[in-house]
Amino acid sequence: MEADYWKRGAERWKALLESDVPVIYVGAASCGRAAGAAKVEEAVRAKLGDLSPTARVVEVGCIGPCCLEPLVYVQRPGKAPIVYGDQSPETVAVVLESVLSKGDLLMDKALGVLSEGAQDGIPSFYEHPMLKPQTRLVLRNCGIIDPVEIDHYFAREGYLGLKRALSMSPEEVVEEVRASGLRGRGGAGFPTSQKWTFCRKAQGDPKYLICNADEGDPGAFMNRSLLEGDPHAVLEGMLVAAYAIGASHGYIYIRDEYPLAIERLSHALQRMREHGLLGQKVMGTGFDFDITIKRGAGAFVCGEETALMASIEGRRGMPRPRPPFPAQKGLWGKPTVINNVETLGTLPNIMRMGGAAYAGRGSEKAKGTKTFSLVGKVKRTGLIEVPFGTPLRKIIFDIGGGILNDRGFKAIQSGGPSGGCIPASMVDLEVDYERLTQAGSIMGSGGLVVMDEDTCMVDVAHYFLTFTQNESCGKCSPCRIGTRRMLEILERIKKGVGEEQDMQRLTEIAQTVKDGSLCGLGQTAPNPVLTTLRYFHDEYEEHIRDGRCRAKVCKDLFHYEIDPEKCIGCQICFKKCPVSAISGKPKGAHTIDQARCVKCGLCYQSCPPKAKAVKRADNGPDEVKG
Amino acid sequence: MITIDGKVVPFRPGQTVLEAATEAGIYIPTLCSHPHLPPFGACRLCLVQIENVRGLPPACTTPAADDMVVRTDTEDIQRLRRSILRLILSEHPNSCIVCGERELCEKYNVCPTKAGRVTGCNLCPAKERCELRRVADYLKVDDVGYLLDYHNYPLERDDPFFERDYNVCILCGRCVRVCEEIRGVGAIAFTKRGHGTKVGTSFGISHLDGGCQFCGACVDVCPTGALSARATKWHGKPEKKARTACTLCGVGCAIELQGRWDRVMDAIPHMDGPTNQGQGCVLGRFCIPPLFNSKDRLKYPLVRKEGSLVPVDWDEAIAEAAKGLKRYEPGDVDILVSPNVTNETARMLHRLSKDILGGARIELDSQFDSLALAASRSLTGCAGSTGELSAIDRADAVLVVGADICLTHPVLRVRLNRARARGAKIIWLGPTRDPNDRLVDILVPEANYLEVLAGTLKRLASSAKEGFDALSGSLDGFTGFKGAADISEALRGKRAVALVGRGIMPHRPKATLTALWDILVSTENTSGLLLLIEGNSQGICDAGIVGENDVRRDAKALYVTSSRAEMPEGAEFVVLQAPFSSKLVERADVVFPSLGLPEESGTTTSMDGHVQEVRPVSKGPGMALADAEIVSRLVAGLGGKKLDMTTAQLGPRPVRQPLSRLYPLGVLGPEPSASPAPASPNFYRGTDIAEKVADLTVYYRYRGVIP
Ligand SMILES: Cc1cc2nc3c(=O)[nH]c(=O)nc-3n(C[C@H](O)[C@H](O)[C@H](O)COP(=O)(O)O)c2cc1C
Ligand code: SF4
Ligand code: SF4
Ligand code: SF4
Ligand code: FES
Repeated sequence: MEADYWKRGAERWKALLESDVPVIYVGAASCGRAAGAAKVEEAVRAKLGDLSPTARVVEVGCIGPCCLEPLVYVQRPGKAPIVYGDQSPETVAVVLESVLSKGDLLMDKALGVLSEGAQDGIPSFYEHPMLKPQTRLVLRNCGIIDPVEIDHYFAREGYLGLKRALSMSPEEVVEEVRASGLRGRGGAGFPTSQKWTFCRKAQGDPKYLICNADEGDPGAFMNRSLLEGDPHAVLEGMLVAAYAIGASHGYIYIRDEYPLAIERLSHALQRMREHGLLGQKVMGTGFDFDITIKRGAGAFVCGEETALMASIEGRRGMPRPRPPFPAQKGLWGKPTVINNVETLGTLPNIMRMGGAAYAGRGSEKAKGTKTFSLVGKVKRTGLIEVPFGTPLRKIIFDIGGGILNDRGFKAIQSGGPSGGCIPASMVDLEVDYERLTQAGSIMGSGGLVVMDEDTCMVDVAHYFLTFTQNESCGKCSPCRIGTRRMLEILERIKKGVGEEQDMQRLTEIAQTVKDGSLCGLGQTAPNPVLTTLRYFHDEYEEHIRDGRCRAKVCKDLFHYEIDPEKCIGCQICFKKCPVSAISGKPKGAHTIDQARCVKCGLCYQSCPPKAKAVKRADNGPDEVKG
Repeated sequence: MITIDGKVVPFRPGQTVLEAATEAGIYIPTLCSHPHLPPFGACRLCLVQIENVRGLPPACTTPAADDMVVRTDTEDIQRLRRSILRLILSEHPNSCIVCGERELCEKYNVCPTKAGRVTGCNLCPAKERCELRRVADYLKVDDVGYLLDYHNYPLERDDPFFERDYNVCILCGRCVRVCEEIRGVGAIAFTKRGHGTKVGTSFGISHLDGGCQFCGACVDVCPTGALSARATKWHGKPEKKARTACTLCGVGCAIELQGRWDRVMDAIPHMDGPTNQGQGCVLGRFCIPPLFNSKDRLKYPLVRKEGSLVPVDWDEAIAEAAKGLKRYEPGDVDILVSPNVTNETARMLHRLSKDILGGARIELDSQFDSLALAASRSLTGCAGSTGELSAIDRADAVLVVGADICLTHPVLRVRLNRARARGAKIIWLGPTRDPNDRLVDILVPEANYLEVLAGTLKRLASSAKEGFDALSGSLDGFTGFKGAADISEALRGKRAVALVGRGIMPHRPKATLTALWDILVSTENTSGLLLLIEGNSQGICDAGIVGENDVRRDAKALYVTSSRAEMPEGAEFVVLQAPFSSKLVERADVVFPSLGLPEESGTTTSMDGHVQEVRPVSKGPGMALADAEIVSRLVAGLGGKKLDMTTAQLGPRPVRQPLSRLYPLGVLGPEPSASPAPASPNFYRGTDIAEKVADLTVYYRYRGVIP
């Protein structure tokens, strides 16, 4: 391994930052692309053709604030890049024109500059309210470097952690990770060093390392972003882990729906091979390691480790009981460690800065930082990274900017579809594994869904359970059948035909599924039901006893009506109604024929703000539908 | 030692908590576990409490360990189990399980049928082994508490032999596991997810298309009525059961026959048969009832009078036969012995030919079996295989020569599958219809496979110690064919088993056997197993009936117990003793109706030498009698002392000589003229089984075995 790599990297990175032509960075990870980054990039290139043909365009990963995508940063010669959000092909042309040729920085549109301090009166982007409360360690390169440039990674101290690891004995590496307090980021929070030690000690040859990039939680995209924005960080982590446990081969199990991440990974593996970082004699040492990418078909349960291994072996992705644990008998019956993308992506930092230094952040029982995907009814959504122990309040109100439309905050759901709902009253909960579990939820992979007062908690339980019920692999009876029975009861309650005993029944089945199921999916699937029963019991009671859904979500429990006093007779709703349930003359008050109404809500949404005549009203007791 | 419910009990390494408990007589409810199958942990009824272990682990998958303290029946556990069982029953028609009056029905039927609901147990085939009921009884669940969620899957009845009603399936996965892991077929799997999870073939194709071998293993492990044999599913409760040995092929599987109304109603592989270990095949599992209950059984003794056969009583028939046989010199009489008669019958027939008829020729009616047995006898001094089937379980390499095992000896695939899973190499020489490449490491299906074998043997011989030179010289004509090098490498110095089948018949079979036995089987750790095609060939050979002389074409009188049609043209007087009517009846002067497998008593011998009891479960039709009884009466009719079963005890089986001599090729005399093997692989008493069993015809047609 030539020391030149870092030198060369540093030079090329510097050349980019200090380029004497403009450089335009486009956030082109999947999230950016979904928001239209490809078209924006096209527009950028077209515009540059006119403005500054020598300028460079660089695709970077996601820097986090999805709500501001597509992001474009404009770097003028000798200056730090200025970040502009919410770009469209049209706006970006204006931005380029203004910034590059008119010298107008569009101060009101600039979100910040990518430098430590302010520049030209524009504050640092890192001071942006969404970024300021964050601690970016795993995500430190995401959205900053070009993920297909291994040199950028070198320049940012890439592979120095590996270099250090390889200069130590494997035991010392395990020790370093133990000192860091690193716990698995894939959900259960099992101490990584402990898992490694089991595998190190297990008899069997070869040993395998698997990177779990299945990320099946709907709405979660932390792993995808990291793989797209900084693939080498995860791959370096894999090398460190493999060296520590004595694995000679690694697999990345990644879902097929992540084509860009797969492309980035394949590309990165190629670069690693060219640089002696993969294959025989990694970095010129006696350590041999190779990596294969395995695409998964996308079943949620395939993220469970025994199902994942079955899937790699070409069998149906179905969990099996442990023992034997994967560390003893895993892939092809050999000792295997499975680690999450983020766990692995954290390793380079630990190896570089040292375990003890890493452990300086976080809470008492959980060290370091964790990424979350913050979604739902907050003003700012996106991928965030905070130290363990950060209070929910800070995440929701500081980073997220509070509740959308300034509605009331009702609950936050953590941990993906099988996490629990934490009520607003617990907004000061400091997020870590144990505290979330105590609250009846889980850390999971780090999904956070914020709910406002327009959310019906029975509906939420029903929504998540529908997912887990469908994704149950069908192997064990409590999970397969229990989730189904619970769902039926929830459906009943949502329809207003629930029975008084239904809450008791739900609790009982939920407990059975939790205690009796084989794998984590079943064991956690009842969480949304159990937590909503625990914290929002009154809402269940209202549904059952009064046939009332206070959030007006359960369609059978409310109806739309038009306030004749307020109706201005604009006829908008009349035209929108898909089933012609609305009647009325222009300028006269309109009415809704309840028998026809399908409760699509179009009238409610379309009634002009100045009128606000359409209301959602509780059904009277005799209007409850069967 | 492990403590279970306060009892300190021993366990063997590798045992699970469930196994340790079961051996100690402690009942833990289970549905998905099965003693023959790898643990699965799906039904979650066996959950137990283990000190210092988090949660409630399943007993069926948790390895027993020293000092483990287990509780199987705390109130918490039972409550959880009850709750789980109620969930299971919420998707399983359950009126027969929770009906308060079910005992009344059970007296008459396996499953109560008087329950009122269409979705109740009256749609459940009468299977005796509904394991749900035992579990429900133990857990005292008599109220399910949910409306039945009936799946409304269509009945699957388009395939031969067995039907599938997944509305009563509880997804225990036993069928999937037995097919995949024990049979090595993998015809079925779990499909879909969530509530739609169902056992099925990939893409919902038929079982025929999916490569199912119709072994019935899935039917037999199913704890519910989801899978059931079509021919017998509504027969109700058996009145009688008997363990016997199947003689539809040479393996000799132990099976349990079930009888009712004096007929055989089902046949199920016996858990601890020495050759089959609980497994069976399409023949033994599904063909016995339709075969033996078929309409064309012979029911009355017949005697030809004025050109046509008329029913007579036994005395007259015996007298006619005796009179007819006495007209001929012993040298003009041939006795053709069916490979399906019992050892006792064979021994009597031998006595009849030697002592009573004064030296009539007697021969086994099975071309490959008699040739292979005779050849092996002259090679080793003892006719038959040189080892037991269990040798496959210890082998590092298995060489299959000229055998279509999936048709002729399907149950052996189980051992091949297990051997391969252990890492043994399986080498197939010769065309085979086995569609499953899970059992193949090296395959030489071409017609010239025997040349590859010769090339292999030559390589092995020339590398062996002195004494092989002469032999290897005689193989010089064979060049080393492609593959010979790999195969000889896989065999050299390994614990190996050679399985030789009738596929070698058209190509110098004696030379092939001799070379194999001399070069490979004579080495210390290799066994040679003859894949005898028919039921009791080994036992009949052991009674002294093989290799006496070749069947002649010039016999004047014939006494045949097999209805295979090839018969000397010149025979003037023919006595036929058989269970089935056949073309041969047309040529017979006297016809003795005999009993068949489910009606017989005595013993038979498996292809690897296990002598097993044959026990009846039903009566034969009409006036049919046991073979031994008929022979005995004939002996008396011929003026001999009436033989009875007890005086016809078999002598000890000849002791095998250690292998010592080497035979140059050709010592066995001329090779038989090449005659192609019959299309249909399976016969009983000379009757083509597929001809009598419609579903077997369907299956064999599909596989291209018969036109
Ligand atoms: C139903 C289910 C789905 C899971 N999905 C994922 C996943 O998508 N990604 C992941 O890393 N871990 C997932 N896990 C957790 C893994 O089983 C495993 O614990 C994790 O990959 C271990 O890595 P870690 O120790 O680095 O956290 C899932 C677990 C369950 C039960
Ligand atoms: S808990 Fe659910 S997903 Fe897990 S094994 Fe059981 S059925 Fe499958
Ligand atoms: S009959 Fe045999 S081969 Fe066919 S599905 Fe059942 S176990 Fe598999
Ligand atoms: S068909 Fe029978 S054996 Fe197969 S999964 Fe269903 S209940 Fe179990
Ligand atoms: S018997 Fe143990 S889980 Fe089914």
